[in-house]
Amino acid sequence: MSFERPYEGVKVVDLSQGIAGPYCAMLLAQHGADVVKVEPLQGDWARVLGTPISDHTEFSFIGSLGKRSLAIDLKSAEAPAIIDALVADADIFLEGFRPGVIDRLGFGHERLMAMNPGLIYASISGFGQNGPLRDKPAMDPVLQAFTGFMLDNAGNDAVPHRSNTIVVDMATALFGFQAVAPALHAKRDAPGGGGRYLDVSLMRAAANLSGIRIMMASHRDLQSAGAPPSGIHRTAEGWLQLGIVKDVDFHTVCDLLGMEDLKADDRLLGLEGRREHAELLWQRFSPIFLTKSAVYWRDMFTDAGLQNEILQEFHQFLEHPQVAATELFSYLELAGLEKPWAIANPPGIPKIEADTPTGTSPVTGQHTDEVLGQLGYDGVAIADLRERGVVTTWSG
Amino acid sequence: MSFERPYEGIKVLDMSQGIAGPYCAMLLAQHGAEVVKVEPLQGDWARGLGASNGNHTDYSFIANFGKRSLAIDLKSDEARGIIDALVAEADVFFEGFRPGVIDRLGYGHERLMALNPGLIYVSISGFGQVGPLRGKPAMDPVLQAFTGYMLDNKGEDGIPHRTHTVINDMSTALYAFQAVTPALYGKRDGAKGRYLDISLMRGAANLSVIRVMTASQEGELQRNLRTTPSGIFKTAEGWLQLVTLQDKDFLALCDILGRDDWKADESLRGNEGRRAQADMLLDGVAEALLSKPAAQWREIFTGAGLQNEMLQSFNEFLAHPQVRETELFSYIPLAGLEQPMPMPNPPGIPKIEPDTSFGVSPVTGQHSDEVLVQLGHDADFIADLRQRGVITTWTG
Repeated sequence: MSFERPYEGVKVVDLSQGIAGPYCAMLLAQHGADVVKVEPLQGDWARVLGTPISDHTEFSFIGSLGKRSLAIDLKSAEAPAIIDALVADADIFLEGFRPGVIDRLGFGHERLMAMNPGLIYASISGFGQNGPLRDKPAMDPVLQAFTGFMLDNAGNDAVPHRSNTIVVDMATALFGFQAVAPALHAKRDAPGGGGRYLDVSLMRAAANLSGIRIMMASHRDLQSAGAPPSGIHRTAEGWLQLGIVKDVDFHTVCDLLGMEDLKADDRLLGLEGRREHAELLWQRFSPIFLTKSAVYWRDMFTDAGLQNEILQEFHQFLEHPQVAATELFSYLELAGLEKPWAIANPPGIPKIEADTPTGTSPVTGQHTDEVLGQLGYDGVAIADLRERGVVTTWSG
Repeated sequence: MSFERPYEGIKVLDMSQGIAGPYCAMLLAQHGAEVVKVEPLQGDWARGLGASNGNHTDYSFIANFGKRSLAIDLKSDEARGIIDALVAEADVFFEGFRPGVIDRLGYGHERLMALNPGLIYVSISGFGQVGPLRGKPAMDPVLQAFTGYMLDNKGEDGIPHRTHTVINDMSTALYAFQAVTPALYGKRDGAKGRYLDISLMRGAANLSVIRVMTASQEGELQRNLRTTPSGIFKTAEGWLQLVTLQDKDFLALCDILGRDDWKADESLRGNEGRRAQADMLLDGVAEALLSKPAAQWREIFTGAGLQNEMLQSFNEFLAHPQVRETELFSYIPLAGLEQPMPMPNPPGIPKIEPDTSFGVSPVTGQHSDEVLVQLGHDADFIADLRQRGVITTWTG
């Protein structure tokens, strides 16, 4: 047991594909768990989602970091023995098929948990394991639409749109982790047992992610929220985000911009008052911001203690000294990439280092031989499995 | 140790305010930990963030479920003895002041971890504990602007805007959880405490890591056209989100829209081919979808196996049968509200029930007396503290 990676010794079998399940298992791997990624012979479908580079995309690369890949045809006659052997001493099992599919494949939670009563079995689905929509296929954008997130994410032109960051997939991975980690903690008090079945859905995660907005929506008109003149302002060069909540901040900004009349206007005291006169505030503030650059305003407002920020592009963010000072990113090379990929280091995990097991993302079947070898298969048996198309081994 | 709530017996002292820290500690409470929320006499500032219902806002309500509140003036002479006594037996400590402030208050990690070497000490900040921006105040929108998220979250009009769901606060809470829980796991094997530096910037960078990876190759990101034609389309009534992932989806779409010309066009096979003619495809789909309401399109597309969803409002989402059947929300009464508040149930946690300790979100100082009694203080002492303004006790 290393205290740097507390999950050393924990074994995970990860049959999930895409991002939500794999990213959760990736975090377990970063905390030291031995994660075997079990993927189809043609690879996890995340390997073709986006821009393929070598056998990877951004999705598959980040979702597989620190795992070992076993590429196997789950419908072959030989697969059950191999998977069962992996499950027998696993602590955690993840699957992300549509509800019902994993049972037909023969790896449903009832059978596997009977075989290994200590197994924490997590199913990741779009809409959950029951209910009228259980069979509906769903990726991140579907749940952004379904849960109200997308309509709430409308632009100034009132046209709703999706968040390009896959907030629902990522939230599902993280809420999945928060379900698995305490289960793992409890399992240690039940030698030989302590397994549990976890039904984790994108819908549930999306609901929790937007819990505050949903609470608000259930009681009031969301349009009336906001804190004018807070918001995103176009400037002479770039965009500026400004947050004004308290009266003292409002008066500061009035002083800075020479708006004595607004400062003296009692109708504009308090958040409610400013909300009522939002249009007036935007009319007065917007033209002023257009006269100077975002950098100019940021420096002025920051000196005055107001919450504000320039809108940066991702690549500007990557180049910021604060990012370097906090060692926020590791840079990992991949054959076929011109520049290394910027990988964000999650908190509480040793910095991801290139050319270490936790800093390597496997290609499809990269560890097939190694994993089968550990299960007791010899070279001849593995070659036979390969020849009959049951497994593939990466040789590139 | 209960298997339903594995963190029973774990003690948490939560001095953080707002959402990121408190929401993380709330999840620990839901998993059974005993969480004492230490807040100023006037309450956590989240209690004044947005529309209030008595002593609560949507923010403070959700982030404090299952905790007990001790309202105390940290600058008073008596605070030191009380906080130290709580720290002495705590497993996890949260603080969310600006870097440096907690040291001046006398509760820096060096002193507290010397007092209790097993303490997992979590600092939640905007930009991290080091670097040129460490002292900069930051809430969720600042980090949406800083990290590139906002510029990536443009509407069709090209104007960037903020996502109202506090994605950075929420992801920071969840990444903190994934840092704390393995540390708790290691502690059982004798690991000493650890200091965890959690920032909203780090949470945001990890949440958007896939977009950042893409940006690290391409610089400024263009409109997201990974799969085309996919997107949000206006219909005769409402909005529809549609995903065309593979060739078979595209061909099915051609059949539905009667576009034999697209179907016959070999250059439109494969996502790369379609990406090259994205504008033409998107315009064509947009025009076609104006002819029927979203509900009708949804039936047609779903019948053809295409991923799609109608954009629902949060309230439509709440009313959906899938939400009911999966018991996605608990409804918790709150003084001052006619209807109970919908509280999303996170995965892996027993359903939140009103009128249990897990289904109550405390008002400021609701448990001041109780916590002090547990520390061995008698009623006279507590009354004296109250009289001298060191603590407040909620009296209803």
